[in-house]
Amino acid sequence: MGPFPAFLYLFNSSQYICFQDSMTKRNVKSRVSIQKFLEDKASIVMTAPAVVFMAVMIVFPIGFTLYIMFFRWSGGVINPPQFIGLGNFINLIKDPRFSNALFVTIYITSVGLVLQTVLGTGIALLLNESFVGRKVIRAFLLLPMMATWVATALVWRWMMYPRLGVLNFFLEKLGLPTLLWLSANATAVPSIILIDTWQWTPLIIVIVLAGIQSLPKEPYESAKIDGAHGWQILFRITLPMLRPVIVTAMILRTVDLIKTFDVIMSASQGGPGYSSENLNIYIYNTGLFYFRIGYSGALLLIYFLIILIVTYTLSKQKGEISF
Amino acid sequence: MKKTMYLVIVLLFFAGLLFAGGQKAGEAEAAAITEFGWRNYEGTTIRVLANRHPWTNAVEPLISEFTELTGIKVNLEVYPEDQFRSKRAVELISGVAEIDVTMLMPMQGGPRWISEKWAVPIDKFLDNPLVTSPDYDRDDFLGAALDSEMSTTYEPKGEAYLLGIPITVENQALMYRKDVFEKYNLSVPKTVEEMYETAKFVNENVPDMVGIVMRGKRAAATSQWSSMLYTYGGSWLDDNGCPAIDTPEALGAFNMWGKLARDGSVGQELVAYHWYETTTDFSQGRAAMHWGPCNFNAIYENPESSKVVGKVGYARIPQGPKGDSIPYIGTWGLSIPYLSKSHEAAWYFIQWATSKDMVKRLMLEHMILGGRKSAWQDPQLEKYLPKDLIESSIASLEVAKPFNPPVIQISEVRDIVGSVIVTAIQGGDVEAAAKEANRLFAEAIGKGDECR
Repeated sequence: MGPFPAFLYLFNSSQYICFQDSMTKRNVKSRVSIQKFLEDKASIVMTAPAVVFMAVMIVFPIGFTLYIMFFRWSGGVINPPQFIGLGNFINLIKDPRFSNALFVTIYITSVGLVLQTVLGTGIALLLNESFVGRKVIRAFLLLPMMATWVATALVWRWMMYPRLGVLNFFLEKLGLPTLLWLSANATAVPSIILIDTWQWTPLIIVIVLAGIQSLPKEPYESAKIDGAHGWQILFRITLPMLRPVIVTAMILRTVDLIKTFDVIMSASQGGPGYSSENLNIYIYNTGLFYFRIGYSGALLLIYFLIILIVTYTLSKQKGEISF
Repeated sequence: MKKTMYLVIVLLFFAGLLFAGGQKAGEAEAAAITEFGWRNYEGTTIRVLANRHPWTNAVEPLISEFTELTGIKVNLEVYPEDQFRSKRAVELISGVAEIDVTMLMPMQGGPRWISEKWAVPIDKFLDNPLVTSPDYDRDDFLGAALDSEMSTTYEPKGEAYLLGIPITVENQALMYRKDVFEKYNLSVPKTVEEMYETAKFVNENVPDMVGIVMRGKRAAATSQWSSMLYTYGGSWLDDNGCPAIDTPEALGAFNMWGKLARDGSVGQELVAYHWYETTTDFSQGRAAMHWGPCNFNAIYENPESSKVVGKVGYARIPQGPKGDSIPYIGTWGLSIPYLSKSHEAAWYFIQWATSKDMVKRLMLEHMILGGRKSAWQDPQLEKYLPKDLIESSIASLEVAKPFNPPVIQISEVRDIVGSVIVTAIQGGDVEAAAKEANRLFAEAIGKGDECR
């Protein structure tokens, strides 16, 4: 039996004081048996709330999703779920909106990840150097991350309006061709990536900067003695040593990028047409907007598998080099 | 301890009051009724579920007059639109609560209400002189307003009955800039082709102004495009209930929307246009015409937000190739859900709220555009609304059709059809997109095999 938790002692002693006067043999007996039960099963009793919570909030929804994906159901009571076997998965293969959403998800994740990692690491390295106003710039660079996501995306949407927006105004002033930004199929996803990069590069900066500052000094000293110069130090020492930190930051960003939702929902709602609709938005639409609950269950399974595979692959990368 | 006792006693007292009220209502209904009288259902209490809408705001302070007239107490519950819809859905599905009267937008909720049999047919009250006031006058309602409440307007087709009685209407007009039309010697377009030529002319010749603005954003555009579809002689479904958005008529409507966008409007940018963008452009004087609901006249005639006050003309939408001019209509109505236990008292409330006097009062004092001819034809209305708006509205409201596809899966179908509109605006292959959309439409409404 495990250690008897302190909390139960407290409970016991107070009970003892309360019932001291009227204590009969029977009371003593029941009190002892309760105490014995609690002592024997303390590990079960103490973890029960957490287990119940997990079962209700996590296991049941996942289990229900795995069950309902074999049905056609629109959430009604009069028309109950109708079993269609693998029908939802067959539809999924034929569904052009699904393949488009898959493509958009991969597009946003890969381009966004590369951009944010390169920019974030670069800026973190710059900020590690000492120059005047370094602290002020550091503080300012963190601001985008602090802003409310939906509000940010809405402001960007305004800036990206082709005729009224400030971005095209500047492009025009600089003598460059103007863009349709969120209003054209080809530029909608890049515009989303731009907003996301503006907002989330600071996260990578913060993580990488913390990593740089915790690096040991010795390798640098010996490198200098051996006569290594700037670029060599960066590529041979700093970056390899930072690898686990950068990969951690990348895992965080990858998961977020795969499930990008708020930026798209407030800036383009997946439009024009479906050109910026990723899996997350599509699943939201099918499940909560069209009430095709079974089909969205099937989509969720695919979505879940993608996240699982990607994070597993990335975390293996992290494990290869350890210090 | 004593305090708790008091609390329990007080609570019991109030519970007793509640039950007493319920019993009284029952007694009133049991009494035999031999002729119509406003106080026949005195003592009943009804629960009314409403959306936070200008109509609700205007009616709320007047409810005491209803209670005074009938002796029926009204518990009004008002929620913002999204919460209102979900609250209503939850109560109807669970079937536990009692709602006596609720607001319902038939073109949005109708198909679901019909298939789940949620509505108490209003006809049985209208046809019964014992519960309907002799001066109610059903024929005074504008044709399209009452049609939009008919069950046969929507799928699934079955028995014909009224889902509710309309309280507000949203109708459509072609709004145009009188000053610009005069300056460039343009005439108000009579056909859609003329409208296109006029829009193109403005785009090419008037500086800083586009010819026409309308919605272009995927699902949002479908409601405004629906009148183009009707005007071209098309419809959402054919006679067999199969999707008909790849017919020559529908293709004509899609192509016209695309042509208008590219040659007579803001171009591809239109794919981001919702009502906010269109009204901003038009009220700031950047567009010569607006294809949309004429209720926006409240924005255009407001000197604080508009640069075009007094310069806007209102006309019926132009005719399509076959000579039809069929605008869309949006209606809010009052319905009695099956959950109600006081049908007659609920009907009294609806009857009072949609009586000739009331509709006229709401229209003249609060600018709530109602569904009755007599109110629209009241000479005093010209003090508040432009004459051309009133005239075009009365004509439109006789023939208009609901703006949504008449099926349960409205959201999904709107997205499917909206993507064809986007393709048309972008100058893509409209025919292929419409064919594909028609297939998806059929699948979405569960007729994938039937309608191949």
